[in-house]
Amino acid sequence: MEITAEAVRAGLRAARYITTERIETILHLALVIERPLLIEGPAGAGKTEIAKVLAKLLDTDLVRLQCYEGLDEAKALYEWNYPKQLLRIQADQRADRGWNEVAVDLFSREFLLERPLLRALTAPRRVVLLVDEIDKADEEMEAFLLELFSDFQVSIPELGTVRAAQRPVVVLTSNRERDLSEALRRRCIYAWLDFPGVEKEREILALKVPDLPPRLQEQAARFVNALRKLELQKAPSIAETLDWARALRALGVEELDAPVVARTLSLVLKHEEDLRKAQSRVATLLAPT
Amino acid sequence: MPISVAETLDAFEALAIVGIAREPMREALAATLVKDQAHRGAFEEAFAAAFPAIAVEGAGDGRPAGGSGAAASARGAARGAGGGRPPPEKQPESQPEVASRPRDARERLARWAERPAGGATGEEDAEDATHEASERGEREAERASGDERARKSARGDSAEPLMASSSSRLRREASLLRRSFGDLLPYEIGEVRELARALARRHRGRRSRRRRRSRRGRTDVRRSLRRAVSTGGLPFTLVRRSRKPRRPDLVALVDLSWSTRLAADLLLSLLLPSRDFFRRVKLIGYVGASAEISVERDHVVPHEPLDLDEASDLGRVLVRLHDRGLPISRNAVLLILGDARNNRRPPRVDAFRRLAARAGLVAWLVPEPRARWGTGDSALPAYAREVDVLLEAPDLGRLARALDALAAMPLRQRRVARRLRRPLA
Repeated sequence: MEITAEAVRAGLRAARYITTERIETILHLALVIERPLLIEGPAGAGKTEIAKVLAKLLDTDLVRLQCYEGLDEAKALYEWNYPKQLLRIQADQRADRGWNEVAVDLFSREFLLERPLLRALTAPRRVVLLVDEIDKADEEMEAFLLELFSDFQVSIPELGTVRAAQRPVVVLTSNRERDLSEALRRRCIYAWLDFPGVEKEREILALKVPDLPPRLQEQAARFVNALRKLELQKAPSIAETLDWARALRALGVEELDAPVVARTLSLVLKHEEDLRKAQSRVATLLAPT
Repeated sequence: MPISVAETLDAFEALAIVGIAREPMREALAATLVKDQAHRGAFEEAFAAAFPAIAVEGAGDGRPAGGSGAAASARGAARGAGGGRPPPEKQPESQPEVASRPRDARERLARWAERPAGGATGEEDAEDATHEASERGEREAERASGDERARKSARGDSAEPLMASSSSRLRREASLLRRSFGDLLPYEIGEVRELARALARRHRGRRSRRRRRSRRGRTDVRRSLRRAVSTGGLPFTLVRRSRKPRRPDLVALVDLSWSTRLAADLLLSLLLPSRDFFRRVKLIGYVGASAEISVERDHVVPHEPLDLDEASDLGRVLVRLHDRGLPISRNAVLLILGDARNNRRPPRVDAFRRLAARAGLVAWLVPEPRARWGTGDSALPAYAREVDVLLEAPDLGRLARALDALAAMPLRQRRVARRLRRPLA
């Protein structure tokens, strides 16, 4: 598929992802320039979703590496399947074979556990590699990724160098729990993904929860937007808004008012303090601005 | 804003792809050059200066005057306020018709080429605006000809229906982090305190992570073999040697006198959540005398009466602490925060040397810019000889970074020289 701005836009629409023109431009660029795309923004604004949508858009697989504290190369790249190797040694103990034969045998692909990064490199076609929440990984991991993304090859001492047949599309997401290194930022295309405004959120609601009355869509979008402007511990994510909308539909709500909000608010706010803070301001939050 | 050569090349590549219609061009430049949302304001400002969109309001092709006026004033405000992004509009973003783009882009590119060099990625230099001045008239004519898309995209200056709050907060954060303690305005001090608490939460994860990682060590052959008995001598499961958690103690000596008060407060709130990084934490506040302190509900509470208005005298405090036997071991980090301005009293470096010799690591955070170290009544050079790391922390950003650097430093294993075990003269 030739990647043009129109193709990206159409692909996003087909993948049912509503976003701004800004993000469309950036996605287009990331696909053409072939640089990793670094997406930052508040939690729940749809960062991870972008990678999924890209995979859908390119009609390819998504390889996901979820970062966490203490993630190391063995979990991210590859690992030798030690128990299996051991079994193998056991199995042909009788056969009188020299060390060289055994070594060649033991350190072959069969005994290699491919972890996400290697899987993305060895995939026969261009895949989307999502490195999720890279800010949670250690700095060492970040430095390693930096090296990997520069030439998309890794060397496995026993096996040789593995080079990507097709450079994967790399998407990195970060919640800014830790500042990423300048070196990594420099090599990426950067996008800041904020919560959508009222209008976009209403569009999202209309697309994903179509049988919600339009008036309620509008009200819900407005209300959630007002909530996000409060200083909350955790602002409601888009997914939570959708959950809430589905709940409202299930309850057969026609109009958003204080009692309904009070009953269902715990679907969007998951902290006791946030709930209390919002409860006391429901009237002002509901007021049309 | 840091922009590397490679990024500039990326920007050109991006421009070649999206063309130079205003809106895609801006996003392409932003995506390739601005790698931190906190810098976005500066970028917008430079972009507005280099590629002004003033012409567009004059177009007046049937659009209500109120709307365009509002957009203009919003833009004007953004430029005037020095980096503020225009407030978001509630309208959905306009969808430019893409079909006509290639030809259009070529035309514009041709016009572009005639311009004086240097303005091509003008965001690097707001001054380029002057080069633009001569071009402005020309472009005005072009846009006024009823170029619908140009009008829309120009309005796109503020058409992004985004909630600006989180990104403007980031910008604010970045500027507060860089502001030196002396330059903070009264109303900003509360903000900085709040920010310090937020930073502390953010950094807590990082420090605990370091500790957790070190838990798994090398393969423990003995225990692996013993475990292997159940699998007929085959070491099927490997047992790793677990590392002993070696958490250092922290002894912090904090100058609470007026000149370093804010820095001391911020340090304490930054240290608070990392208490579990250290084994034992002893916080000592000093002015003319010293007292153990703790932080309760964000307030510094001395355990003994402490006169905060006294002139600070670190020399006397050090001698007292030495004589009372301040518990410092080789497993302890001795951290001092202060400007070492001793009001010309004896610095008593001999006492400091004895205390410092017992510690595994001696670090000194100076809440003054480096240029002022050792000037006037500062006895810093005298103390500095006994210090392992001397860190400049004149603003919150550097204070937090200094603490992070400190957390990663290894303790030295050293023996206290005999002459330093003798009592003070």
